[in-house]
Amino acid sequence: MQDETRLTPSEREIEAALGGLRPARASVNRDQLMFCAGRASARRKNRMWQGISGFLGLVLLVSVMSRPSATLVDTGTNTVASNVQESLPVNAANQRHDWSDRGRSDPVADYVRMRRAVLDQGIEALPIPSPAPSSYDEPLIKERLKRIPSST
Amino acid sequence: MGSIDSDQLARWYDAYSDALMLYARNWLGSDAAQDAVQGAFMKLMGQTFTPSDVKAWLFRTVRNEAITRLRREQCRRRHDQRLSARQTPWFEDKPDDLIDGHKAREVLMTLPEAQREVVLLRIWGQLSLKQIAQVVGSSLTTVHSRYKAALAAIKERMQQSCKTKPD
Repeated sequence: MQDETRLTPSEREIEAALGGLRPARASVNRDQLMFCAGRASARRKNRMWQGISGFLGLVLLVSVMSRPSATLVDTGTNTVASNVQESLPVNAANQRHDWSDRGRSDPVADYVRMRRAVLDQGIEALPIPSPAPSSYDEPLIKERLKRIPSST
Repeated sequence: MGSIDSDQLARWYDAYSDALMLYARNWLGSDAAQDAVQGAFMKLMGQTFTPSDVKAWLFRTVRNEAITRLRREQCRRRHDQRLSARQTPWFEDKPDDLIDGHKAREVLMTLPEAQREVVLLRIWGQLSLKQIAQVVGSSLTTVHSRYKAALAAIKERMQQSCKTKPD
């Protein structure tokens, strides 16, 4: 250290004399300093955790905000309606096979369906009439009795 | 280099606190110097990594802290210095000392601030001229010339005081 400064002997003497003086003891409370240092260290660790949790919260927020919006899939009434519209003529063509259960359906709807089928396909689309039951139920009136011998 | 634990801090405190206090008194009164030194150790504890040269780091931090406080409390400076001159001596009084502590302080206070700073860092801070240059932010040549000039001035003033003593 002395070589570094390249001092004369008299300057070294002064330096040595001054160096003999000891600085007054620092009156800083050592225990208080250690306590404060420990507290500062703990606060730093707390800040680290706060920073990490804040960052994760931000990531969560960003992921929620940037999530793709849900698309509405329409599988209900429109499809059914379009199917009904498109299949009406086809259904009308098949009406001949459905007359067997017509008793269970609405008579007005059956009539409309039959009418449409006749308009589309002609008279062949008419259902084959069932002969028996209606004649039993029908009352024997004068006009009917006259019609029977003429038809035979 | 890892973070600093309290045992290391205690060792550095025991080794450097007195010299740091003396250095801080170059600018501040006793109480403000204590705060500056304590603040430097607190900052050291707050460091994520240990500085490569802890001793130089502490002196530089105390210097920065002291100069900041000095600027902030410019008007209180003279009052603090007068108060500290009366209350707290810079050096311990020992009968076998070649130079009286009070006299040494008086002589040191007559030096220009830049020279006094170099003397405090060199003699009581035990820093090399290179470390001093880093702390004060000057070149090695400047620091060296300041130190030589300061020693010459101290010698001259000590001789003057010795000559005037018999009268």
